[in-house]
Formats: sequence, structure tokens, C-alpha cells
Amino acid sequence: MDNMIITGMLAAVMPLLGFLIIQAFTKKHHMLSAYVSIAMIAASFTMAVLILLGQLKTPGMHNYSLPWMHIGSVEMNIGFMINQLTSVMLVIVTFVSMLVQIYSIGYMHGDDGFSKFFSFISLFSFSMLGVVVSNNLMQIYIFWELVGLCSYLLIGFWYTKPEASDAAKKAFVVNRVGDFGFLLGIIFLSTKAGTFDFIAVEEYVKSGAIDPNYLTVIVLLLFCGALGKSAQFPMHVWLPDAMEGPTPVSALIHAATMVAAGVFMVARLFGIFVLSPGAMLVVAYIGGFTAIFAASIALTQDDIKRVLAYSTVSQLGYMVMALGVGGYTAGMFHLTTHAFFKALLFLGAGSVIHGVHTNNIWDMGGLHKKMPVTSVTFLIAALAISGIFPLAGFWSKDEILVATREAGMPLLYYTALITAFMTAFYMFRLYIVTFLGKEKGEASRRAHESPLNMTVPLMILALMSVVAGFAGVPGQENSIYNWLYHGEHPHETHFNMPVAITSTVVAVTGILLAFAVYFFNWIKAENLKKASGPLYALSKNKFYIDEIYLFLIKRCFFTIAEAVKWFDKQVVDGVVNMAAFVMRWSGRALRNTMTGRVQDYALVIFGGAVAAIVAFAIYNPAALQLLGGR
Amino acid sequence: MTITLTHYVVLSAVLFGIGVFGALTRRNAIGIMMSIELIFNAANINMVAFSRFITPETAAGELFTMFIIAVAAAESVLGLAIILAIYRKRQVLNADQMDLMKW
Amino acid sequence: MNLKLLSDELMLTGIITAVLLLDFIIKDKKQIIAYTFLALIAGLTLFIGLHRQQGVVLNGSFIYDGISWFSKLIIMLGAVLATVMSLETIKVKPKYTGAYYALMGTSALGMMFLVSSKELVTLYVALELATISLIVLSAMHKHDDLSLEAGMKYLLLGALSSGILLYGLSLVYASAKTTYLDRIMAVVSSGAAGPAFILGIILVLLGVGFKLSMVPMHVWTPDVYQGAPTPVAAYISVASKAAGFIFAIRLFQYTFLKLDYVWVPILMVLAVLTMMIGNLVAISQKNLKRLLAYSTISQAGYILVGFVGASVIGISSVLFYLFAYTLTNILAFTVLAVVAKNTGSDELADYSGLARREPFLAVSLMLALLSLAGIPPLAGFVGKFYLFYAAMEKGYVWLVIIAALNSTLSLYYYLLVLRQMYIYDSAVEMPKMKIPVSLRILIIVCIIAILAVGIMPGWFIDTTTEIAQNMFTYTK
Repeated sequence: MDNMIITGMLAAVMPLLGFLIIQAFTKKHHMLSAYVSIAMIAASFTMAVLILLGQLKTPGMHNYSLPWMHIGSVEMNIGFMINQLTSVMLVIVTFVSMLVQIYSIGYMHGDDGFSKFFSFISLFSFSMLGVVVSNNLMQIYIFWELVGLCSYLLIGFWYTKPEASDAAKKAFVVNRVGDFGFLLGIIFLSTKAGTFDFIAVEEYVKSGAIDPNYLTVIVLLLFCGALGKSAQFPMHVWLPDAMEGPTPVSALIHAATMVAAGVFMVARLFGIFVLSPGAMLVVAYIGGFTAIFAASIALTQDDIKRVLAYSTVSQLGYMVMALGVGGYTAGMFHLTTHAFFKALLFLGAGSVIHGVHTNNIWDMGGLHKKMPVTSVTFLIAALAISGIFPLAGFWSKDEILVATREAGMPLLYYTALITAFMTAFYMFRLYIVTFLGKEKGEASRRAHESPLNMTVPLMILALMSVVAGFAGVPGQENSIYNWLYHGEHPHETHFNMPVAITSTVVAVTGILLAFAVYFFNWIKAENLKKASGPLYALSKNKFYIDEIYLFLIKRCFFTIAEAVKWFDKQVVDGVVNMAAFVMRWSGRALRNTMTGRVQDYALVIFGGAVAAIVAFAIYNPAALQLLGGR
Repeated sequence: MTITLTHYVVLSAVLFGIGVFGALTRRNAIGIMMSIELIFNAANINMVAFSRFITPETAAGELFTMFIIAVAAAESVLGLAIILAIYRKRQVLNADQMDLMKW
Repeated sequence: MNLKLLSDELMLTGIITAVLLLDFIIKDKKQIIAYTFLALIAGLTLFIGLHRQQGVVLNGSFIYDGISWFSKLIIMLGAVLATVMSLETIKVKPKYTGAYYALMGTSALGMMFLVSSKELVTLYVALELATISLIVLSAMHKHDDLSLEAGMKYLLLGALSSGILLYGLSLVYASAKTTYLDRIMAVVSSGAAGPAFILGIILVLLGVGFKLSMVPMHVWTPDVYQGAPTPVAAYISVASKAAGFIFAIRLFQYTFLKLDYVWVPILMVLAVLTMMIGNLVAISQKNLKRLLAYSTISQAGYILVGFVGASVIGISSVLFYLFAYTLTNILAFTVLAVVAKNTGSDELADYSGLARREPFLAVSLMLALLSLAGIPPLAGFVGKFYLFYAAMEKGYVWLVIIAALNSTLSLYYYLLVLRQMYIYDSAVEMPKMKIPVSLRILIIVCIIAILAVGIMPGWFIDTTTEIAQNMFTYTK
């Protein structure tokens, strides 16, 4: 156990300590709770920086395991793995978490659940760091679930609001569906390999002991987990709804860290993923599709947080796509830069909401004069996400474009380009409508700049959004690529001028178009709406995905209910997914066997007995082999 | 005609069948209990017969039967007590009317 | 003959006698009996925990091995926790107090014999001792229609399943020519089994299934849980189920192990049905006790998944899960008992706004339900994972998929309960609830235990694994 492991361990445990202290002692003293929480995360951050510095000096793998339990001959450990990837994630998580907590002092001021909020955030930080430092599948799964639980608690933080609690439930259920696949994948993989350890599992898979088709199934199951957590199509539905939570939560969990956990997991298991080209293809195309799909929805949303939510989904799709085409470093690099500018965007939005008390962008306008700091930092973030030279997004996004191009997937390359165009357009639509132009409502006239504890984090993040990209300027000897890559051969990067120019042109076009439409009104937004016809409606209504789910559930349900009269009363609102519907339906049907009469019960018993005997008599020969036993 | 093991087994199977039939069709709770007693007796006959024909050197089957009879008696007492208590409270004796809890 | 091996059972018999005697002596202040009983069985639990023995007595019909030690602990743990729960929540007339605790003792005694028996007659008698005591306990609220009805249903269906079990046992006896499990095992491994034997095994399997509330023998479960006094329901759900599973392990994973081509396919199908039916029907429940009853049915299904798994790991996983499940279920039922004591109702609707009124109870129930759903880091997660892993070791991929799917589905109705507590507000302003100190302590102990088992399962799993191996290596 070397110093780096100890530091990593401490970094992960600090927020847990914060959570426990708040829960046990300082619940009644709001400000004290906040200070405890921030002190702990600041300590974590310091350690994370130490680790990063150490890794920068001498990159390498540090692995340490404590025995946790034995299952048969298989050992399960609590382990810590510190390498380049870990150190980057540690810094991102602790840094954003720290800034968000400082910001929250202002944002959550006066809330009844102030202490509770900070204790949850601490618990979340702990869980997220747990995911990051895990060195085995079992542990990552446990923290993975914990992270989901924290997210559930925080989305539903204002649980008296029905939308918030519904959104929390939706998020939890959708994530569980993804995790169901993840868990199966873990069980399949580890029973085959006889270990849970990342390194050992990877070696086992590399040895070719698993049938390639089976491996593809396993990898896809593992990917299911990422699908849920990182809100990839078709499991993206929970993320926009999750915006019902407090805005700092959206910034921390649903933009910068937790949703990146899926991407991180794929990166962590990259050595296994790459061995299944089929699965990688699925990963790449799902990522690409999610990117363009979510971006096109973001074009027409009116709620400031929803625009950002879809933008997050879209950017996550970008990262997943990058990983899918083999651009490991590109994906991770984008994750890093995205964490900064997306957190900034959300916190900026939070600042705006704090000032104007509305989420609708059409009620805002002209806020630049009222909230100069927020406006300028927001502009920086918008430029960064659009990929304008030399901000952070430019470098990372370019790298992804190069990766798709070099992987020989033109379809994905053009998808990514179109997405970049859309991104630039909707970000500036958002910026112009919100901050420029005339004040539109009472709300924006009363607006005021947020207090210092909210604006300082914005400025720090803005700084990071500018400089973070320089770590990955291609062609440098010690750029992030050569450092981050842990495979046999370092990733070859070179500055691809045509790609850089194309992407810049695309982004600038998007921005100019946004100005033309929303600032100068050269093109009437109405005409644009008309011209795009049904496409507009599709986008505006998020491609009716929620409606389709709802339709599948409710409409089908009504049809059947017509046919079967007995069903009639059973239509219950709030049934949000297909599974729930089927479950309820069959549950009710089965319930009818429980009549309360003892003789009907006796009939079930005897009928069951006879059925068991008869069934066995018929299928007797080799019944066990039939069921796949060994 | 000598009575063989087969006769006993058939008798017990028939008794079992009657017991099951009774348990499923009698409405009176006491009747159901009596039918269940028939099922027990089917098992008893089996036990004694097997003991006599298959393991004549030990008395395991007979012993088993003694215990079953004792247990069945205890169960009947308990059953009657509960049914009586229900009858006192609700004036109900039929099993199909004892369905306050369902679904 | 080494009577020392029977010391636990003899002591419990002594405790029961003492309680009955006290009942004669003490005329008023019957609570003294309850506290005495609690103190004595708590002491006995400690004694069992510290004095693990090894040996066989009574011609090999009674064994004290690791598995009986562990299951006795679970049973006594269940009895102690249920007794604590009973102290404040049971509503029997004072003159029946002695009888109530004595019956609690006799049922525990029956279960303790059940888990140590290695002979069919002993098994049967022990089983009935446990069941009959539990039937009386369920019908103990004589003034309550539901309690009586629960007793009636439990009795009739229990007798029915005993009939099936006995018929099966008679066939087993006829085919193996002995009632001793070890000798039956020798017969089983020496040659092929005839149809009568196989029929006997299937009937025995179903008869045992009653205790496990395995489909199709699950029908009694919801009604009995709902009607019986809450501590009794909790006790049945943990101790009786644990004893039933040990019984099943002794019969199937040990005696009929060679005949696994008979019982494994049947059990697998029944495991799937048990999980599905338990989970699906639970969704539409309006009464929380009934909901928990269906949830325990589905839990039995998960345990069966591990049960059919690879032998040592399978048994170990079942034992571990039983332990985790005991703690979790007792926790859930305790919260129910407290709420019912205050509001007089188990209806889900009456849990509205519990989070605001009684955050302590709401959080406790939430932890219990999340543990049942298998969310880390609670005990239920490790237990479930272990069960699935055991099945996977044997290669039953499809079974594991169905089980994992089911545990995902089950979350849905657990969330419904959470929603009721956290989001809906109660229509009327309710007075503050009274939480008796004993129950508050019970809840806190359970929560700590659930977290401890969930976070540090290593020691427990090592113990259960050692015990599972012990069953195979230690046979006279």
C-alpha cells in the first residue's frame, strides 16, 4: 500500500465523513453543515490534486485490494485502483463538487432542507469517488447503485412537488433497468473469469477463453449500465425530467459527474470492450444517434434547464460515440472539458433562475446588463461547447471528429458535424434570448446579479473552460493522449487541419444563424418554424418519445380495458412504463386466484401438485439437461 | 384370496382420493377437517402396510403411524376450537363464507 | 448417549415449563412473564451462539452440526426479536399472556428439532410441533375476526399439506426401507429410484413447500400474515421459513442429492413461478401487511434460485440470505407493528405523510424495503447477489436472468410504498406517534445489523460456507 493508494482512499472517504458528521451532529445548524461538507470536499480535492500531480510526474498503475469476502473459490475485494484515468476523474469530481457546494450556499439559502441537502451531496460525492477508485466489478456496481440512490434522493429533494417525486421515481426505475443488464453482465463475466478484479478479468478475456459471441453479449449487457446512467437513447428519458431537482444538483450530478459515470465505466473496461468489435459498433452508433437526436430536441425547448439537459444527453452521446470508434482518449478528454463547461452552464442557468424566478427563456431577455458576470461566463461556456478556438471544447470535440474520421466511419463523422452545428445554434439561441435583446417580462426587470458565493464558482469554472483544452493540444510530446492511454501503444495524434477548419466553420455558421434569427430577426423564427414543418413539431415534442412510451402503456391499456370489462377500474395514473403496465395487469389477474376461500386455495395446492407430477412424468427424461444444467 | 400389499396400497390411494375430493367439495369447515383426516389415514394405512410387508423386522412404520394419529388428534382439537370460536363470533360454519381476507 | 448435544432443546423446554409455572404463580402484572421469557431466550440465544457442538445422538436421528447450529441461531434470533415486538404490540387478554409466550417457545422448540433431525418420524413430529404452535399463535387475537380466520386457514391448509407430505414420506419409506436419512441416502446412491420413490419425493417436495410458501403451496401466506398478530406474522415469515429451508436442505441437498434430476427441474420452475407470482400480485396490494406477505413469497423464490445452485455455495448462499432476510423482515414488520399500534391500521393509505410525521419510522421502513429489493450496500443486496451467483456457478443462466429481472420489478411496488410515505400527505392531522423504547431499540439494532452485514459480509459468508461444507463432511 503506497502513498498514492492511501491518498486516494482518504480522498474517497472524506465526503462520507462529512455526511456522517452532518447527519449525526450538525443537522440543526445549517451553515455549520455547509462548512463541514465543503471542508471535507476541499480536503478530498487537495488529495485528488496531489494524486494528479504524482501521476503527471510518474504515470502508472497503483492497485491495492483488501479481502472482503469469498464466494466459493472466488475472492471479492474492496480495492483501490489509481492510474491516470482515476486521477483525472478524481479531480473533476472533487473540483466540480466543491464549486457546486460553495455555490449552493447562496442558491439553497433559506431552504428547510439545507443541512439535508449538503449531507446528500456529500454522500453523493463519496459514492461517485467510490465508483472512480474501484478496482473490481463488484465494488463498482455497489457504488454505482449508491450513486443512483443519491441521485434519486436529490432529484426528489423537493419531494412535496409531485413532478419532482415522479421524476425521481422515473430516474430510479429507468436506471434500475439499465443496472439489471449491468449486473447480469457482471455475473456472467465474473463467473466465467472466476474473479471480479478489473485487471484479472481483462487478462482473462484477452486470453481468448470466452466465446466471441458470448463476449459480445456480455459487453452489451455491461453497456446497458452505461446506457441507463449516461442517458443514452432509448434510456435518455429520465434525464430531462431529472431537472426538477435543485439546479446545483443538476450541475453536479446530471451534467458533470454522475451521468459521466457510464462513459467512465466504458473507459475503465475499455480493454474488454475493444475485444468485441460487434459490441463496439453498437456502442458507437448508439452514441452517434443519441448525439444528433438529443441535439435536435434541444433546438426547440423553452425551458432553460431542459435545453441544457438535452445538450448534456447529446454531449454524452458524443463521448460514447468516441469510445465506440476506439477513441478512448478523445472520449475521456471530452468528458473532462465537458464537465467544466456544462457545470458552468448549469450553474449559470441556476444563477439566472435565482434572479428571475422562472425557467422559461421567453420570459427572460436583456439580462446581460442586470447580471454581467453570469452573462459573460455563460457566453464563455457557450463558446466552449460550440467548439470555438481556442476554448476547451474545440480541442476535445476536434479529437472526437478526428477519431470518427480515422475509424473510417463517415456516417458518424457527418453525424458529429451536424450535431456540432446544432449545438452551436441552440446554445446561442439560448444565450441570445436569455441575455441579449430587450427585457421581456416583469421577471427580467426585477432581476439582479447573484451573490459572490455564486458568481465566484462561475468565474473559476469559466477559467477552466478556457484553459482545460490546452492539456490536449495535439502534437505535444506530453499531451494528455500519450499520458492517459494505458494500452500497449500510445495513441497517435496529429493536428488534422481540414477537420479543425470544417468544425470551426460549422460552429461559426451555427452561431451566425442563431444571431440572424434571434438577434437581428433577419430570418423570422416563425418562418423557420414553418419551413421545417413537421420536423419542428417533432423536435419540440422531443420526438414524442415520452408520448410513445405513454401511448404504448396507456392507449394499449385502454383498448384492452374495453375488451375486458373487468379491467375498467384498474387504469391508474402515473404508470410510466411498459413494464409497470404488464406487471400490474398480470398482478391483478393473478390476484384473482386468491379468493380468500380456503377450498379454492386447496384446489390451487392440489392442482399444483398434480401439475408438477404430470409435468415431471412427461418431461422426465433428461429434464435437467433440458434446462441447461451442468 | 390373500390380501397383498397391492390391496393396501390401492385402498390407501382410494382413501386419499376420497379425502381430497371431500376437502375440495365439503362446504362445512368441520367436514373439510374430516376429509383431511381421511388423507392422514391413507398415509397411515400405507405406513402400516409397508412396515408389515416391506420391513417386517422393524416397527418403524407402526411407530410413525402412532405419531401421526397423535398429531392428527391435536390438530383436530385445535381445528374444532378455532371453528367454534368463529361460529360463536360470526355464526358462520361454511368455509366459503370465511373470506374476509382475500386478494 | 451424549445428552449434552440436546442441551439447547432441553433448556428451551425448561424455559417453556418455567413460563407456564410463572403463569400460575403470577396473578396480575403478567408483563413480568413476558420479560422473563425474553431474558431467558435471549440468554439461550447467547448460549447457543457461544457453544457450538458437534455430534450425533439417538441412534443417528438427531444431529448437532454446523447447519443446525446456524439455523438454531436464526430461529432463536427470530424468536427474540418477535418477543421484543410482542411486548408492546400484542393485544391478548392478560390471562393468555403466559400461553402466548409458552407457545412461542414450543414453536421454536419444534423448529429447533426440525433443523437437527435426521430421521423422518422425528422430522414430522418436530414440524407439527412448530406448525400447531404457530396456528394457535395466529388465532391468538380471539376477539378479532381476521385473526381467527387466519388461524382457520393456516390450520386447514397446513393439515392438507401435511397429508401430502405424509403420503410422500410413506412412499419414501417404502422404497428406502428405512426412515433414517443417512440410510435413505445410501439407498439413493446405490441404485436407480423406482417410480414410487420419485412420486414420493415430489410429494415431499410439495409438502415442504408449504413452510417455504413456495408456489403452489403459497396460498395461505397472505391471509395468515394479514390476520395474525404482527409479531407472529414476522415470526412465521422468518423463523418458520428458515426452519423449512433447513428441512429442505437436509432432505434434498443431502439425502436426495443424487436424485437431483427429479427435484431440481421442478424446483427451478417453481422458483420462477414463486418469484413472478409473489412480485406481480404484490403490486396491486392496498394492505401493507399483505404486500409484505407477497414480497416474502417472492423472497422464497429468490432463495430457491440459490437452493438449486451448486451444492456447497448454494447452501451457503441460502443460509446467508436467510440471515440477512431475517433481520430485514423483522425490521419491516416492527415498523408496521408500531404504526398499527398507533393508527390501528395496516392499510397503505394510512401511511400517507409518514415521512413528515415520523421520519424515523419512514427511514427505517425505507431501508428495510430497499434491502428487500436488493439495493447495495444493504444486507439484501449481498444476499441476493450470492444466491444468483450460486445458480450461475451451476450454469442456470436463464434462471439468473429471470431472478434479476424479478428483483428489478419488485422495486416498483417497494417504491409505491415509499411514495405513499414521502409524497402523499395524510388528509387529517394526526397526533405524534408513540414509539415504545423497546421497539425503538429493536429498530436501531436491526438497521445497524443490516448495514453491517451488507458492508462487511466477509465473515458471515465464510461462516456459512464452512457450515455448508461441514454438512457434507460431518456425517457419522
